[in-house]
This record gives sequence, structure tokens and C-alpha cells, in this order.
Amino acid sequence: MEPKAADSTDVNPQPPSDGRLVALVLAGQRRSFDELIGRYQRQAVAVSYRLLGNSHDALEVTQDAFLKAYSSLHTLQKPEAFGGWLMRIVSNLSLNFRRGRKNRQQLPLDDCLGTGQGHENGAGGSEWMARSGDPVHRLESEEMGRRLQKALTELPEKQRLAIVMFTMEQMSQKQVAEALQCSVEAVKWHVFQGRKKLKELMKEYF
Amino acid sequence: MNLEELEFSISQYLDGTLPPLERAALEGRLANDSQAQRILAEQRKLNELLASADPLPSINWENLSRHISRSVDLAEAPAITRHRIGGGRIVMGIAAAACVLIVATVTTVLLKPAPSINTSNSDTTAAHVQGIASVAVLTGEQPRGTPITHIRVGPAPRIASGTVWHHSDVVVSRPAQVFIAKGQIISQDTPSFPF
Repeated sequence: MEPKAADSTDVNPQPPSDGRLVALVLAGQRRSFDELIGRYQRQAVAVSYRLLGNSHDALEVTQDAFLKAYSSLHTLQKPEAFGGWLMRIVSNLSLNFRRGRKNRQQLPLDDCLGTGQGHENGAGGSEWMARSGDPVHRLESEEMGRRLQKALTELPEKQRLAIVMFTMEQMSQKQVAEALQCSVEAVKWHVFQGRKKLKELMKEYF
Repeated sequence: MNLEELEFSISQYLDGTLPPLERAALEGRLANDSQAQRILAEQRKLNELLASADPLPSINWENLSRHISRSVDLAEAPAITRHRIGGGRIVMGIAAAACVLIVATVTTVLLKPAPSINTSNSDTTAAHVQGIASVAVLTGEQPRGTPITHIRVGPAPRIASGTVWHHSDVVVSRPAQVFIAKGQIISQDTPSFPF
């Protein structure tokens, strides 16, 4: 009798670490990068979206960031820090997005957005908090979303990134520190200073 | 603790990153200090505002990952990891190879047997002298008359018979003139070793 091939699948192995996946990609296993895409695409889109306030741009930046990460993966010093490194690429690309258009050919991303989503409400507008069914609440939410987006753009870069990544995206302080290339203590300080400024900028809500 | 330090402590307290000792101290203060309570309430509200901002529109994550994956397929592959040899090692390797080559060449030249000297002429005395291709001395012509003095060319008799010193009786070159100076006869034809 032949042994069951399915026996080996009964064991539920731990998913490979980021470092392991990076090593596999560098060894030529291209498909391992797809697993990294699956792990970090949501975080990348969220960070980019909160920095740009535009879903189309955020998707483009995310795609660009993964391409950049793939082509320069061999330069990653600490493979285990892939997440923080990727977020650094995402934030840099997002901040530079409006400064210059990219030369790279992009694949259309329209089918990635759900129906009724992805259209911006005016130049520099935001989709934030615009999901409520109640029209009054919806308007208030939209207004608050716009104010928050505007206030965020007025923060110094490191404070903005620290607030977006740590407070809003719930990334670990270590990961944020890797993304910002600073210490964990510095992340705490940037978050604190960012909150202080946000509170001043949105004082009518307090 | 000044106001900013208090605010910073409360910020970390809300994030759960305040060290345990400081946390206990802050909780003690929050129980009685209205200013600390107000700061805590404001920061909580701001955090709620930020947390409630769910900005992500509806995204088809499967499609997105497929798109990105396809883009990556079209992109250049990452550089293959290579084990680099340091510049110093390369130079040292080349130097070692050059040394081996030099030693091999010198050894080959030194161990190569000296070419044999042609002795086909019966009137010719030949000798093996390393480094000289051929030496020939004519012995047929003899001086005439009575010699005034006898001059021996070659090593001293004691050295010539020994086994330690090696010499050659072959005249390599003949000078045009020979000056004979007055002096004592010594057992050796040179006053001292030239080396």
C-alpha cells in the first residue's frame, strides 16, 4: 500500500517568517514574494491612503512600492525587518508622489476597487468616514475626515508618519522605528508631539 | 514632573508603552489630579477620533495582489546573492600565484643541466664551465728558448688537489700584456678571498 500523500498536510506548520521568505525570493523562488505581498498589501495601501487621501494613488503607490522592494530586495540588511522596510518605501513614495509622476508602466488597477468606491470627492478630498447611512452623520463624518486629513498634512513628516503607522495603522513601535529609521523612543516622542499638534489643529472637536 | 512630561507619560500610558513603575505612579496621580484626568480624556478622544477614521475604501485584495504579482513578474529579478571576495583577498591571491610562478621558473632554470662542451678537436682541451658555452685552449704552440721564470696559471697546488675547492684550468681570455712585479712567493695567488 502506498503511503498517503495527504499525511504530510495533516501537520499545520508555522508560516514562514518574513526573513525566510526574503531568503527564498533571493534564492530564486519568485512565488515566495507573493506571500509577502499578501501579508503587507493592506498595510501598504492603508499607509499610502492615509498619506495621500486618494485610493487610486494609494493603489498605484502600493504597486510601485512592491516593485521597488522586489528589485532591491538584495539591499535589505535585515530580512526580518521586511515590513518596516516596505513601509519606509511606501511612505517615501507617497510623500514624493505628487512631486513627480513616475516613468514606469503601470498595470490598470481599477478592478481592485469595489463598486461605488474609489471616486474622490473633489480635489484633495477624502473618502474618510463617509460610510454612514444617516445623511447628517455622513456629512459630519465627511467634514471631520477632511479636517483630520488636512491636519495630518500640516504635521511635520516624521510626526505624520508616526501617527499614521502607529496610532492609526496599529503597527508596532519597532516596525515604525524601522520604517522611520529611528529609535523606538523617538517613535514615542514623534507620536506624542504629533498628537499634541493634532489636538491644537482640531481644537473645536475637543 | 512638568506639564509636558505629564502629557508624554499619559500618551505612553494610553499606548500601553509606559514602564510598570511609571505606570503605577501615573495611575496614583490620575486618581487625584484633575489636570491629569483632563489631559487623559483629551488624548483618549483624539485616539478615538483617529481610530474611528477607517479610511480604506472597498478593495478587492485578491485582485490587487494578482496585479502586483503580475507587475513583479514583468519587472527585473532581484540581484542574485553572491559571495564577494574582498579586494585584499584578490590582490593577495594574485601575489601568491605570481610568487609560485617565479619560484617555479627559477627552479626550472637552476635545475636544467649545463650544455655539454664540444670536444671533437684532439688539440683542444675542454672543460665544463657552467655558464660558458664552449672554451677551447690551443696547446700545440710551445714557447721557444729558456724560460726566465716559471709562472703557474691556476690555483695554488694545495687548493688544486683538494676536494673542497673546485676550479677550472681553462683560460677564458688571454690578456694582451702581462706585468710581472717583484715580490715574495706566497702559497696562494691572491692575497685574500675576494668574497
